[in-house]
Amino acid sequence: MKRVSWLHKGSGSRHFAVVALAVLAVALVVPACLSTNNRSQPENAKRTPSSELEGVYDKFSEKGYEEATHRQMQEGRTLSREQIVNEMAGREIWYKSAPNGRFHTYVFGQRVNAPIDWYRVLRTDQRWQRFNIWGVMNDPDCCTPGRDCDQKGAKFKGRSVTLQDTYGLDYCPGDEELLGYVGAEDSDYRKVDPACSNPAVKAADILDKNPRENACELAFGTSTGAVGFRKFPNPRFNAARWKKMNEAELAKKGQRWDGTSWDGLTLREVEGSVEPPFRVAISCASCHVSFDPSRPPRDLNHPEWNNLSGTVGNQYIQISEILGSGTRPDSLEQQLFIPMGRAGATDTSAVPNDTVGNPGTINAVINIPQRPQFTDKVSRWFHVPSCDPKKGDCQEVNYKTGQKKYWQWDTKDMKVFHILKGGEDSVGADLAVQRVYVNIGMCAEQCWMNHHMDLRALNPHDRGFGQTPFNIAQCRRDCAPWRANEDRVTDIVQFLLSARPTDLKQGLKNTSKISADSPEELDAKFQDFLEGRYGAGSVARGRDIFAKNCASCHSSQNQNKADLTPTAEDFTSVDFAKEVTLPSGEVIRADWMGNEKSTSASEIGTYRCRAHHTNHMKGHLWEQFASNSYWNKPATSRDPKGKPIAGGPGYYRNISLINVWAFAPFLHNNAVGPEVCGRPEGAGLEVHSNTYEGEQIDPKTKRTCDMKFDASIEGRLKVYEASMDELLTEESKRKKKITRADVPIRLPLGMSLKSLGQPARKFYLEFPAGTPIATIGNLDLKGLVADIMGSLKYIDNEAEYNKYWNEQAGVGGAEMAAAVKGTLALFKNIKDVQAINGVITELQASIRENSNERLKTYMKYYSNCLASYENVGHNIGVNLPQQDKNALKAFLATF
Amino acid sequence: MKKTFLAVVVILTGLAAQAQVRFMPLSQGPGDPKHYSKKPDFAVLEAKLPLTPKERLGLTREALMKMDQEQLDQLYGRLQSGPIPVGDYKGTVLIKNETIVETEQKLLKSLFEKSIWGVFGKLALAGICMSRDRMECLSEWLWYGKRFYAVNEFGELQLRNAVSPRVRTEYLLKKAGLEKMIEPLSRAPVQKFNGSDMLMMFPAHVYCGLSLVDTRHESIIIDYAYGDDFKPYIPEIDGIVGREGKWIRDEIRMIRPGLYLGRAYMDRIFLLNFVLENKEVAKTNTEVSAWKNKCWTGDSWQ
Repeated sequence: MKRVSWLHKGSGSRHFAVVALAVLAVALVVPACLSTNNRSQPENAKRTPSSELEGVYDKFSEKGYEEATHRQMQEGRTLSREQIVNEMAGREIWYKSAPNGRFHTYVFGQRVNAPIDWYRVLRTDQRWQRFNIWGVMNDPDCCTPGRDCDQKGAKFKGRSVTLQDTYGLDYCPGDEELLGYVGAEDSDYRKVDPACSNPAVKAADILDKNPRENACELAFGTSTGAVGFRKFPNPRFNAARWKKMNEAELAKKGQRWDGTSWDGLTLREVEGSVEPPFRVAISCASCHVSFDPSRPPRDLNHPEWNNLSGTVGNQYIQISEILGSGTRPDSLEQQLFIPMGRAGATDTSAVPNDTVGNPGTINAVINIPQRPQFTDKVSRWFHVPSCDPKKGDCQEVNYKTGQKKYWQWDTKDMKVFHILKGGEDSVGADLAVQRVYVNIGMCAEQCWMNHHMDLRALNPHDRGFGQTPFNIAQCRRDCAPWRANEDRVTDIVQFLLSARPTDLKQGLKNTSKISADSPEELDAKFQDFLEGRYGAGSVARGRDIFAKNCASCHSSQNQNKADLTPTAEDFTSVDFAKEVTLPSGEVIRADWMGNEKSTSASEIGTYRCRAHHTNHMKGHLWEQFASNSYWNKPATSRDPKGKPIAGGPGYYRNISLINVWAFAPFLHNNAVGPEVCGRPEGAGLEVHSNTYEGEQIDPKTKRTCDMKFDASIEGRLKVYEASMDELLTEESKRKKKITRADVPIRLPLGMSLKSLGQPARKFYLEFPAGTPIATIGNLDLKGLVADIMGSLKYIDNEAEYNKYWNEQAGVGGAEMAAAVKGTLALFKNIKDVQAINGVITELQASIRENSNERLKTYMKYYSNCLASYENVGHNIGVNLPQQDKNALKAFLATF
Repeated sequence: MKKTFLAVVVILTGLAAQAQVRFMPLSQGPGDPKHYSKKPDFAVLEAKLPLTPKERLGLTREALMKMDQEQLDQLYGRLQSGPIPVGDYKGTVLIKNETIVETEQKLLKSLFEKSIWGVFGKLALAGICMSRDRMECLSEWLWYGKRFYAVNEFGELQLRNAVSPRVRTEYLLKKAGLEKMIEPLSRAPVQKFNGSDMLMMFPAHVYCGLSLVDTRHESIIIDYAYGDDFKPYIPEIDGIVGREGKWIRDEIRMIRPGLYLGRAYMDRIFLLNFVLENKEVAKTNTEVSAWKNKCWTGDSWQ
């Protein structure tokens, strides 16, 4: 890639630079004029190249510059240089920063018991349909050795690059240097990581008066070939061992190793004695980047940077399947991890496990400056000019440059966003962003994993029995990537604040479905398009229906702004298309099309498990990322024992409907609408799991779906319309969806004693295929075991025993008391090994026959979420006549 | 007089050198005093009470045997890997895990008393293990330690366990209902370990990896999952601890050269601690500044 040097004041090369810039200016400005982008460009919005070109060095960054500078501005106003530089730096970090290679290589395999099969996901010989299989965005700058690298001019040490060079993965910019560090135990790739010298990051660092941690700690690595999936050289890789292992494992299957695949590692399952050549990591972009709805690519597997947006949220990605790619199909981890997520949805509390299966979609980040905020009571660390580190509420951070930074713990009322599906992240956008970096593995080992619950710790006295709060101050002290991220989080937030809508109207123009010479003509033709599709007068009629039925949740122009209070206002005369001018001079839509208020899950009736997320409660993992106000939300539901669920859970926020035309299916779990999948070519490659009742297990149907991924305008509209049809249908008439295990789930219980004297084999407790995943995934096993053990001291005193169970199990007290007595009686009768076998055999049979009443009792009262069907709720507008439903579709498509 | 004076100086110096390890108390508050939430976080503990060289030099196998589980955990949480050992290390089992102790004592009491325990309770063990937990004692009677082999041409590190030939005793195996093990055990390789003939069983991989109790620093992992990479391998015996059996995975950290504290896991469930000791190595490596860590210590990337 040709580097564009930037202007420095007083530079001796100014003359040359001016010429170069002029050339670049033409290259940028002319296409910009002709480009079919989605922003109006009054004359005053065009920027003259100057020092804003700091940070532009390749096609990727050119796109960033274009995004930053092509905005709708008020007459005579331009964005400040600082804002552009910060946005561009934030974008680089968003796309590339991935200081979590160790997490995805070691923690997943050795601690979570779910190794990731990176080769299966990223193998370069499947690049041509990698999107179809996994829903990931192929990196336009990468190539497949032996196929198109020579064509793209990508050489390795002056020659054609081979699959052996890249260990079977794509070849990407920066690899020529990176590959030399694979297996180099005594060298330090960190010193040459691309983050160290990234021009955009450097430019933003210069602007900040506060000290910033070494940029190298941002850890960019190089691309793996999929946007947002980064790689780092593994210094512990041993080529001889790698060869020996692959050959031996494949030989066991009667196969030969091809010299490049990682198939031996896949066969080897969970153990860490063999190191892979790369540590693969993920940046925010891995989930958040997707096709720009208004600029669909010609080939979904080969997009250009112009077709991609960093903030729309990837509604196609099969991230659960990617992270569960290395687990066995019948393992508990696979069945918990993977099916709990359709394309575009995943359970982000699978690793920081809360024993609730609660997948959620990746939100589109749009028009955040207009997103409603709330005044919450917040306790957190605040950056202050100085404080006394001898006091417990002050932290001093010393940088290698000799500079210092100070943080003070304080409690105050603060205007905050409520971020995540239940509004849990509520102490400021900066910490919300940082928490997600931790959630994808940044500083996982130094700061995070020790606070997790260990599923196998069953004694409340054992470390890891339950979660403990993540300690921000400790992480700040002990983990350089935390500081590097924290010092630049304002750049990341600035980038997120810059995300703007991708309107259907603009998309139709970009793809030449509509041609127009003026904004007014475009508006008129767009209306014709909608009314041709949804009926004459549908847009205006839809607006009225929306105002009456939807705006009380889905407009931010409500007068009553307080959370937890109903909005009973008249929206009849509200202008939903109104615009507002930001302090920067940019003009954007005023209405965020959602008021962000918390609605109880019981009221809206949608799949409730996500609302039972507990990680942000006091005493739990994300305590320091939730406001006091969050914890004080009134309980709105009860658990199976009849006890109120207080401390924050129980709510969903009223989300934005901006660009809803592009982001179907609907609801927080993508469950309302058709099932969509990639339909790759080749047997066994489809990873989608069908959740339609009756179709989950049959091999003929379990990988099928209603529609193939189609990111074209028409493709998106089809999914949108089908999703609206389902949403506007009463739930009992919707085709039911529930995630069931598609193969028996086998829980290892140790070694089979029957195998003594023979090669050892494991003994498993098996749950049959068809078991609802939520039954097992939502079981509060620890609570159950702890309560059973606690009851032992009362076992000989009937009155005390029953009292204990009434206290512990509420409405289920009597049933639990009887069930536990029965279970304990089984153990009392065990006198030898044969008896143990007998008990377990009987247990297994009863599970298979679903006849074990005691087990049913346990699962009934010790489930964190008993909800089953996933596409229920939101029964609003279901009784509208069909014409009005079409009108609503028309109006919503104008957002 | 002079000799007496010198003797006193030596004793006092020795005592001063054996600095007591400091521990952090559990936090106070309502509810179960031993609840996990009251235990100090390892990062906080290490920052407030880092182990001093004196504390580490003063620790002995005997001192470790007297610690309870929380003390062993707090000690472990302040250690790092040290170098990967090479050679023979004597082993001592420490069973302080409340769950294991209670399981043995309460739930499976009748079962054990009918098999091995009954034998030892009635015979020699009562005399040998007066003050030790009987499982600890039985373990030491059977298990002598570990041998760490030097790295091979493929960069692999192998380990084997030194097991007493007593385990092959037909009488014991029959008493325990394990007659099927007699023939496979007869094939187990025999080698000298600390001067005595031992069965060198249960091969394992040794590598730097994640600790299951404290991820802030890597530990040295002794992983039996793929022990069949090493020959000889007896599936009926060695497989018991392998991936299709109980899948034992140990992790160790160095207290000082020649002395390691370990944790044993079965299917990732914590079982017990153990100590590995090589007095020769300990004697020749007292220079604290020369102690190095082979495995990742928490520095962000490596």
